[in-house]
Amino acid sequence: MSTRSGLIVASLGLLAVVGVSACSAMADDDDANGSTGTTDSTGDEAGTTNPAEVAEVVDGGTLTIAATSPIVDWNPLSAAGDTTGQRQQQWPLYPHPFLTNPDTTVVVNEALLVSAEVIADDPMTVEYRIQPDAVWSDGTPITVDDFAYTQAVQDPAQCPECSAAFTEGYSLINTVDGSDDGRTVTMVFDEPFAPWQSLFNYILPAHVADSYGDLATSFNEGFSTNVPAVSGGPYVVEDYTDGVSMTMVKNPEWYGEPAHLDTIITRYITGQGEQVTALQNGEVQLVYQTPTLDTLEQVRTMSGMTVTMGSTLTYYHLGMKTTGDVMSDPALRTAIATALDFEDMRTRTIGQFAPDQPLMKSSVHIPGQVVGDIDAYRENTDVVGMGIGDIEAAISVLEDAGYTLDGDQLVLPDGSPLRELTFLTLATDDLRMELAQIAQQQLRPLGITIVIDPADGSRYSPALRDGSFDIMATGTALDLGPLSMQQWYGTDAPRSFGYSSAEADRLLAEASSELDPARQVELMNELDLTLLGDGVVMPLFASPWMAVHPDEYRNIFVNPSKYGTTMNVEQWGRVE
Amino acid sequence: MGRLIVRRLASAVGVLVLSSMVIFLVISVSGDPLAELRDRQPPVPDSVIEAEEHRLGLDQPLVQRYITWITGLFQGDFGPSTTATRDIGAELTSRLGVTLRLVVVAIVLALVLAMLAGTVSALRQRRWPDVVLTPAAFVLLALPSFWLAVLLKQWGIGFNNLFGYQVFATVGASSVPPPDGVIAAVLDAMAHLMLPTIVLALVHFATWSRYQRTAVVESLASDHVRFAVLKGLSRRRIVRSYVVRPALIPIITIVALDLPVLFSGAIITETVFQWRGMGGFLLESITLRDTNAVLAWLLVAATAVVLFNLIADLLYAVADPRVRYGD
Repeated sequence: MSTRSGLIVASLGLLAVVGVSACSAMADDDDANGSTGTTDSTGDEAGTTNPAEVAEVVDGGTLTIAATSPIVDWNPLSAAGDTTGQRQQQWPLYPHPFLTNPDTTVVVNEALLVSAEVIADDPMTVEYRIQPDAVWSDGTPITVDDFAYTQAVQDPAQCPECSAAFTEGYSLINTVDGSDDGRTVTMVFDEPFAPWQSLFNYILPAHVADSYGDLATSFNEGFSTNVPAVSGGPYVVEDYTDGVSMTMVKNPEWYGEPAHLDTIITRYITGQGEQVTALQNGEVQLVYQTPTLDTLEQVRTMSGMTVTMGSTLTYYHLGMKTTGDVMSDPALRTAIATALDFEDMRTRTIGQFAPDQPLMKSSVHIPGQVVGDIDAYRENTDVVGMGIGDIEAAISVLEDAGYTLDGDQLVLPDGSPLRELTFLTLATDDLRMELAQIAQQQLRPLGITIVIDPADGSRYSPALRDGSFDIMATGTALDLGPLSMQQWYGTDAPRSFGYSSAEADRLLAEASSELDPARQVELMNELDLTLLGDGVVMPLFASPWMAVHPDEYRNIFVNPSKYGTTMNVEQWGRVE
Repeated sequence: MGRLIVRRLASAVGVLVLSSMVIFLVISVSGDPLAELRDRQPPVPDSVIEAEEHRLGLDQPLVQRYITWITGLFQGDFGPSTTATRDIGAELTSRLGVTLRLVVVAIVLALVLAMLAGTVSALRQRRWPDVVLTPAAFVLLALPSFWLAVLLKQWGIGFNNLFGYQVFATVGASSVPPPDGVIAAVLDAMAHLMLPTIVLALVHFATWSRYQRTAVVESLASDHVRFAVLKGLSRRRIVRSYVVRPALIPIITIVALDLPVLFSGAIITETVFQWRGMGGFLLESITLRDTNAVLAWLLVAATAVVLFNLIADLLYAVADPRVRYGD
């Protein structure tokens, strides 16, 4: 018995160890998707899909798209439902006021709205005019009631129990009024809210909510637990098998340009490599994922496949702590920023599989990003001399500040050697690990020793928030413009790691309430220069994305927004 | 025999209670189940985080959480999931069913082949069956199961592409949408079962056949076999009753240790072929930072370990009279 008991204990111990080690290997979610990019075909026929043009397709057919995770919450506005994969899967089921094009421009969704505009600045008043034939799939008109419900459940003052993922902006809306039989919606804001176009990205059906109960019950339970029977988009759910697949068919009451594919099936395949082999075996027809050197090489060996690459509104960047014993010295931060070579980092990381992906020289806009009709991107890192890999200039900055180089050790102005600097990175993200190693090499000539802290998922985010690092690598999504930056760099912001700047706070506040796109772009670029000057952020490159499908399918684009490739799902189709 | 069963059962219950405490403690301190929620961009409101902490009981002391959890277990409640809509117990049951579908055929196949091959190899040492089977088993043992699975999958895809017909499926337990008709459904199930079954069967065949060969070789050299030969018993009877039967003890031990791992989820095979079984349940629960789901999986796995070892103890007594007499 003693031997058996020993075996049992050993087995249990092994199970526990497996569980613990696996628990600590958790990935984070940067809410990324993709944008402007390149398309090529792996087969004999040249690729014909151009991300800027919509091709002629025939009606009919089925497409199966691979997705890594099933729906865990059917409410796309809830904290549990508002994740990258679920947003993409549920996009075809809801009406949306605005669309993001592959070139990052944001346009009114003309299927749903006649217009949407700010009609008064003080107080800020927004008017949405709904198309007269816009209805839910059960024939109920889409009206002000749907806007009012969607606003109420995301306003903590009206529904404190609602588990909404995002409440910014909604809580600033003072009144929601309807006219023209509810087809014109007028909203008055307490304060100007610049990213107002990001509101109401999913409009929930108020008449369905009524059948579930009060605000909190309908939002937290009704919409979260029930497969939506009513759709306001081009497709409606026909069947859902938990963890296996979701089947969507055309919404017979769809009010926009008719959809082409009869059926779209989402097949849940958790591994990205397994998605690619499923594509190879014809079990799925579309994979949409972040590329790696391995997966890209694999899809390029498949004949008859169209591979579209694009960049995203989420970007990789380094950051420096601006407080503490040594990092509070601007001279040290400037020297580090000057010595690092961002182009070398790009070439040795994503340059291996996405050589066309440019270096990002701004922390507030990605290359080519359009705000309003304005080209918002500026090469601001060049202005402040960041990331140029100039060791001599960096040493000069240090020497001017009283530092000395004693052999391979940097010595502080007070004569003590500089301690080792901690580089916090995510252990499960190969790219971030590589960035840390490259930075370690690049800073060595300055006499700076970098110790890499490869944190697992459960420790990484708390360590970021606590500022338990000197330098770090992370990602930021820019979908919300000024709000995206505010959450990191505003004083006492939710993701702040101790950075505080009166100038940055002023610019963030102004940009968040600035309704003129041209002025907002200027403010954001001023903010960028302030942040870059402080060395708190060091932008590298936008996160790449790829869509791969057989050549016969067209109009499948890489979308830069966090809502993913299904944004133009009604245009998807096959060529004969 | 009755006393043996009671003693083993009492011991098993003790191990389970102890393991539940260890598992709960280790998992509870191994990470923040709400880390993903706290890390969202844009940030999730504090009120939502607090509501989730309360729902998951994270605002309670550890001891109180354990008592709540263990009390719930006796009522069939595995506790709340980080995904509010997830019923851990129901999903676990469904996943166990999928895993059973995957592993039962593979286990039977591997066990039968391993016992035959191991016995034949031992009885025909250094002759052609042994010369063929021994290197074959070593090759299979040397192949990492992940690599074998991926290799077979690629061969299956290559076969399909060559003949322009999907004989082998590589994703899940069935096609979507499912084919119409009984025959088509059976063929579809076979298309999905073939590759993962072959992988699982080959991996376990290799290990088990080596154990069986060694046990039979040792049995052949024992005194009681020599005595049976001298006594003039027939070769068939000696092999069946005096060689193979005592040699079952090691294979019972190794199979009893392997089966809980298989029933807890053939993680690699399930992952490569995307079967939604117990292995996937564990991996997904970890990804979702679903502490109670991971706990539930570990508890099922621990129960399987205890259960199969208990069965092994009982089989020892059946296979070897000395265990019974010793009792």
